[in-house]
Amino acid sequence: MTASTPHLIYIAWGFAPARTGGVYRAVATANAFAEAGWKVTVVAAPAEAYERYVGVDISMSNAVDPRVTVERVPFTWATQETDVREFPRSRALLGSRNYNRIRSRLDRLTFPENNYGQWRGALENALELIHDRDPADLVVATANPNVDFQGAYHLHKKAGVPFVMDYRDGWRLDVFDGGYLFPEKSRVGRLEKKYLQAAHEVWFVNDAIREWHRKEYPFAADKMQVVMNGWDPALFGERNVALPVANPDAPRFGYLGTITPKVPLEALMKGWTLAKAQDHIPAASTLEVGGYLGYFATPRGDLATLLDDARDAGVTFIGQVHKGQVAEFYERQDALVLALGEGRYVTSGKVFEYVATGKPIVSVHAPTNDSSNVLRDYPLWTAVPDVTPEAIATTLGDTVKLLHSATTADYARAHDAGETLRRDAQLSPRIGSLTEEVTA
Amino acid sequence: MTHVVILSALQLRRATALSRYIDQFTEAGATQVSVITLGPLSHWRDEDPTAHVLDPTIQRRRGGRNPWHKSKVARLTLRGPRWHMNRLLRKDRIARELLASADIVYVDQPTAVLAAWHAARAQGTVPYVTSTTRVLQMLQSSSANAA
Repeated sequence: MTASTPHLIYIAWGFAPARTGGVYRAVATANAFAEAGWKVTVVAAPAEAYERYVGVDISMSNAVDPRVTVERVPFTWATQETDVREFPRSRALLGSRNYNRIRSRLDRLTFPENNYGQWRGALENALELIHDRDPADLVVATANPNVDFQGAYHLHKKAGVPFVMDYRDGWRLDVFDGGYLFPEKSRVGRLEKKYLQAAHEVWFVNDAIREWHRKEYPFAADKMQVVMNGWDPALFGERNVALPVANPDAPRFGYLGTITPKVPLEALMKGWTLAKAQDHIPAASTLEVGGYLGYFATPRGDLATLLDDARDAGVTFIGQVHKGQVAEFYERQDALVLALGEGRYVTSGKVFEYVATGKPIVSVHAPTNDSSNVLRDYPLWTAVPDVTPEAIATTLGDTVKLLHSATTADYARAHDAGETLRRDAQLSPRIGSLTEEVTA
Repeated sequence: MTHVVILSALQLRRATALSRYIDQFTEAGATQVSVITLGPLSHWRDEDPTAHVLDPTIQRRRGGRNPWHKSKVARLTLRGPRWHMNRLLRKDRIARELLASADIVYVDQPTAVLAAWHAARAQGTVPYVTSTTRVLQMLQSSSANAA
């Protein structure tokens, strides 16, 4: 390290080429620090672990700035192992169900987090080695998994390195229903309090989550900042203003994103089928669905069945869309369906990508979802009043009307609205401020 | 040529899931799909390969009046289906021959894991996996290599 080149250690269990939800933010943050003149070392799980357990998007590897160094820390997720030869004797003898139950408890002994808790030891050792080799000026840890925070706290305690906690989700807060996932006096509650007391800054993806934490931890309120998600300019290349639809009698709708059980897929499929049956949308309308089914590498069968059942109504499921193919996917759609789980604390990262396209967006989520705040001023937006098949069918019909009526000027305004939500615009104020503090 | 063996602990159950796997594996490039099950199956299609049943008499022996208690006791003891299947698989010549000729073994049910684990260790390099996605990936990559 030199005085002019500060060193950042960025802890992100899920980093490129993983296909997990927070990877875009993680890659963008590491790249932005490198761009701002920092030497960046990312500490992440090995690519083989992603391949086995959560899936990979190889095109993500090209998105990482070549100046960023990535250190891989070993991680095994025993309960997700699918190769029988790799099973320990105890799993064969006890059966998978009993083994998984016992193993999960053992994993939580070192750190109170299912599956990821066992990473703590390896992570702390790796951080010590990196810091000994090249002392860090700052650590940024992004969660979840929350064990990443423990790594940052460990280095702070051991070597006094200041750290930033980057919350993409809640830990004690259930972002879907606003309730508590863990009580205040629980082990998690005590750990979170300890981390927040020691943290230099705390970032949240939206104001609703920050407000919740401000009330819960007033002593750390001054450190709390909102660093919203945004869309990555590298994803779209040069943006052009979208044009009004050439053939509104055969509109093409698209949905792109990880489909978890929280996404109202069943209501959407019923609403879509109903919209066709009641002629809200033209018979030739199509809905193209892309993304993973579930959080893991193995797709969920129940979700696949829902999509399969709607095939006759013009729904096609194309599976994973690599980062390099995302722009092409959006290009061929006339309107985009934003289906999200309920929760005023939920802002999907996908909403920013949708806005960047400058195309009509139809929201299929509760109006209280925080994504509505992002879209409120977007000129080509329709939203369901509630997530029922009937309301979805009617709103899809409204979107088709919008496709007929929207003018070139509307599309130009939508394009401009997208410009304000670039990810670099969100990150640069915080990075600028941290750079000043470290180099001062 | 890729031979996939489905090792299932199904017994007296609808076999529609197995039929779906057979279709998926064949579509992905498997030239032969064989099925080994613990007990006889229902809803087997005409075009499906004949399943090799390890214990065809299992239905007769499970005719007790209190099947839940009976099966629960069995599950928790060495008489349970996991151990039973392991013993049967070790002794069954046809099943062993099928496994020996397999390129990939898909282990369909947690109950089949004990038998699969022993067989995998005895057999060496043949992959035994519990995920259909992984089987499909392996089939696709072997098809791509062959092309």
